[in-house]
Amino acid sequence: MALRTSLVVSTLTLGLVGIMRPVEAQESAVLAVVQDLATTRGATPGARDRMTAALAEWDRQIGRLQSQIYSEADGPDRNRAFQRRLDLGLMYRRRGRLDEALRQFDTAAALRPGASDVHLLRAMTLEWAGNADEAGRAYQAAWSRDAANPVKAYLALRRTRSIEAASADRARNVLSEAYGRVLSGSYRPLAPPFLTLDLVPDASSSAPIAGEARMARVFAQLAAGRLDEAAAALRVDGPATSPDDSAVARIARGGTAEREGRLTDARREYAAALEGTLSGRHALYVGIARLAQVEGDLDAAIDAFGHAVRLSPNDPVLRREFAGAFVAAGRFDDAFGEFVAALLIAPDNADVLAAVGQMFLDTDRAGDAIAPLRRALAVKADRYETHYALAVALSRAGQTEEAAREFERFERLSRQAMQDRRRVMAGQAGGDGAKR
Amino acid sequence: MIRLLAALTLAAATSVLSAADAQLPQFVDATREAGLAFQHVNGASADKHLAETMGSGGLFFDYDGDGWVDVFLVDGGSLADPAVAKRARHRLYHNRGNGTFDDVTARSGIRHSAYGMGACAADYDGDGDVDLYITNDGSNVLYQNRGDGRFVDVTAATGVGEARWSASCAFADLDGDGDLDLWVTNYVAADRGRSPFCGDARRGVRFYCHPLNYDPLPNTLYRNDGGTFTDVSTESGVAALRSNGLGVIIVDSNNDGRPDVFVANDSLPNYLFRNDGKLRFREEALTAGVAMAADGQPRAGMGIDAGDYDRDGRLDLVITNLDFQMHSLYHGLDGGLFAWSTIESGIGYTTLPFVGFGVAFLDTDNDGRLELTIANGHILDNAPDFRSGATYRQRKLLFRNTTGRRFAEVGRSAGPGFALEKVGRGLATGDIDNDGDLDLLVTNNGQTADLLRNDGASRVNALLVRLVGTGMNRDAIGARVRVTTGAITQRRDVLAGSSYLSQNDLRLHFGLGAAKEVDALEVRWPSGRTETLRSVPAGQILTIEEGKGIVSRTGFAR
Repeated sequence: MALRTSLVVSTLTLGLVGIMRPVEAQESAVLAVVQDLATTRGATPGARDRMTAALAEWDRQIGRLQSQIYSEADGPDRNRAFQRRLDLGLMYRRRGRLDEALRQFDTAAALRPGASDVHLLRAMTLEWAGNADEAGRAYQAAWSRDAANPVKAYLALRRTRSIEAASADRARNVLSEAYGRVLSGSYRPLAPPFLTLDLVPDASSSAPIAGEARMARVFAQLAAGRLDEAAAALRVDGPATSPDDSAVARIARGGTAEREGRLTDARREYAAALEGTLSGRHALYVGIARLAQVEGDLDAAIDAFGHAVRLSPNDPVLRREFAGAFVAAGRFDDAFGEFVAALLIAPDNADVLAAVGQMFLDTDRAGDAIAPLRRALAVKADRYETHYALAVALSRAGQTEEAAREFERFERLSRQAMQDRRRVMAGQAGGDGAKR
Repeated sequence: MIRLLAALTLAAATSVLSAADAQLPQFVDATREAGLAFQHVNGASADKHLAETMGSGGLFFDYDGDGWVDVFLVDGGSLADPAVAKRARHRLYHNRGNGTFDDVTARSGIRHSAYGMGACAADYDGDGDVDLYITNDGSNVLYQNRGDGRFVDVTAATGVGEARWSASCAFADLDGDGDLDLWVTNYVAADRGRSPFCGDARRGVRFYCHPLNYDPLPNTLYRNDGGTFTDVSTESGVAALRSNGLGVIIVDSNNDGRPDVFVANDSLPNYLFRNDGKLRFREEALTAGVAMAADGQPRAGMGIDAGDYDRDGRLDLVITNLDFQMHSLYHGLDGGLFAWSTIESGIGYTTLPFVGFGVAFLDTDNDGRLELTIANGHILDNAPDFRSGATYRQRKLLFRNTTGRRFAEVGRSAGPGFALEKVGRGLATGDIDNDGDLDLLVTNNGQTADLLRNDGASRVNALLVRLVGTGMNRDAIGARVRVTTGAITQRRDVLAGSSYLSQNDLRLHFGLGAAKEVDALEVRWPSGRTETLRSVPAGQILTIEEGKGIVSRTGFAR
């Protein structure tokens, strides 16, 4: 089993928008150790000392910033004070000192009651700390202060356990309006719209960075943001779990089980491998979700996809697949929410646009399917699959003449594709690849 | 790089069960105790002739009219080895009515010829007994039922000896003249003497070739001219289109009173031939939405069936496909249109690992909702060489209808018969023991056939309806029956040919759940006449004759 080890520190940037600052020096030093661990998947001599030293220096740096801020006592410039509290809160958050981060965010929120983003930071920190109910209220607070923001509407809708029906309707309306802007071509994101605050963003690797047995605890602590605990666990001669229990072994066994059709076993192995995987856990969750779908366990699939998009929130392909899981479960409102989230990330993604259209087609809303399908074709005109879907939509909507034209385009393009396929097969007959 | 899941190299799937699983009927493998000792000869050879992996089918039909459905199994043969070909024998099994069957092949006069594929059965000459048509990779054969247990080869006299590679067939009165015409799907033009090499010569691995390596063939349509047939493929417009035809059903899908023809094509767009009533057809699958999947890509269409699974009065369609394609479910809409509803119906992802062939809508638990059952088995006998994790033998699937519009796969909990992993091909439904629930006949390539007896559903109310038409269409092929209990109306159509190379019991089965009688039973006869019966008690086999109402009633054998 060859693990992907190409993780480089430069990819471990923080995916924050606007309010985020560049990675601080001591943070970089910690990341350098993490990078080293990810590359070697084992603790090199001195790694623990370097990590401990970097963390200590980081703490001193935070302490200096805190002293500076406290000496200013939030001064007369409330905007500056607000920003300083945010900076400090974020630093605590990345350092894994969640209570202190929350105190700073609370103070910042009090300094500027109308500010929205600080509540988003609070929400994400509360969520990380395991306080889902309070996080949900914070997501709603963020959205209520920036009511037209579709990202915040989405988060309020999806991350609040028991959102009131009226609020949910309002959030869906905001998403619908954003969807309208996507279809008209007037929506353009300036940066990835979904924040990530983790020191080691899970999406920094598209495949799991899994540890050998003796690194399992270190990786688990790092992935959980518990840096001191990670450093403490970082001993070359430290106690190891059984090699069979390592994430690497579990992923390997999961792959074997998958190939042998033992899907439940594969899911179990991948789930067990989550702890001990430094980053790229979203890929494990995607695997679990896909297997659950094949097993007909749609709730488990949705749950796993949900984890995956939290870990890798700015991946439109993943969100499209998540939406597909909702479609399979007949949860079309939720599917639409995920499709819109995907389009907020990538408004010109023809696959997502076509998938939205297909969902409307599949739910007997042919009229609603036409606009996204047309937009998909405006982005990518040669997709015969989309011409087919548009033709079907137009046909069902009673626009028969235009439907006929689209069917004609589809037939022309698909005929060409079939001829190409036959040509390839004819060339391969007598050689490789012409089998089923 | 961790090779994680991208390929989903799956060979089998387990199922997630609903709360209602305790009431699932159990399918027991009754093959041995019933006396069905049939071993399919596929003639598998190093030459990898495609026919070796495609057959063969089977059917339930009551050839002697004694009220107990009998079994016919098609045997394959060999294209490569004449000695092996001689071992092939079709089998006709007579149902004794006590759970066992007699092999009556020898005295029936039915002989094996060419490479056997499928069969369909109907009373083409209107003499009151059911005749048999066998498709082959080679000349097809029509056997006339003499009514005394003997069949006579009348192929030459009736002119139905299509000599190309045929697959499925179906009888229906396509021109509305009262007798049954015959539709035959033809697959590909493959050289029977030589098979092209497909595979990896360097590794020494050879596979059966993809059908797109061969030239496609048109369907064949025979018009019944009062007991003999005329090939009208050209003048009907059917011969102008060539494809890799496998499954076929003939049913009125747009309620215009004329039967339409759906053909499942392998790796090319499916066909929907709309009937103008005068034996002229327009192919409209593309505009109707059944030519391909939602992504505009044709699938490998194998088996096909139709049924109103959501009880909205509109016919829905299922077509089985290759693995990694999902089997296709088309939901009927107004105006003769269909929507590909595979994903949201719940059958999509679960069917990803399976190569599907025989398929049927049926009510296994008599709750009044149609389930979906599918026989699976890979094309390639060396499937793991083609794709890691692929398996040649596969289990059958049973999709339980949970909400009226959604299905959940429960095959693993449906008894030992469903747990059998085999190379499934044909599948037929019928009530072999007249106890009011549906049993299954599954044929398997190169293996024994399976007779799966449904144990458990007979505790729930049901009705079996046998129709007798006037004129030459004695079995009322093409009739539609609507049974209403309270606010729910179920629809069944009498089809002589469906699934894959197979045919179901012609009697129509209605599960009634807790209802002890049906409020109304409406028959729309092929002639166009409609009759309605009121307050019909459950728990019986009714024979309804056109114009005469119920002519016989038999209680279920429970």
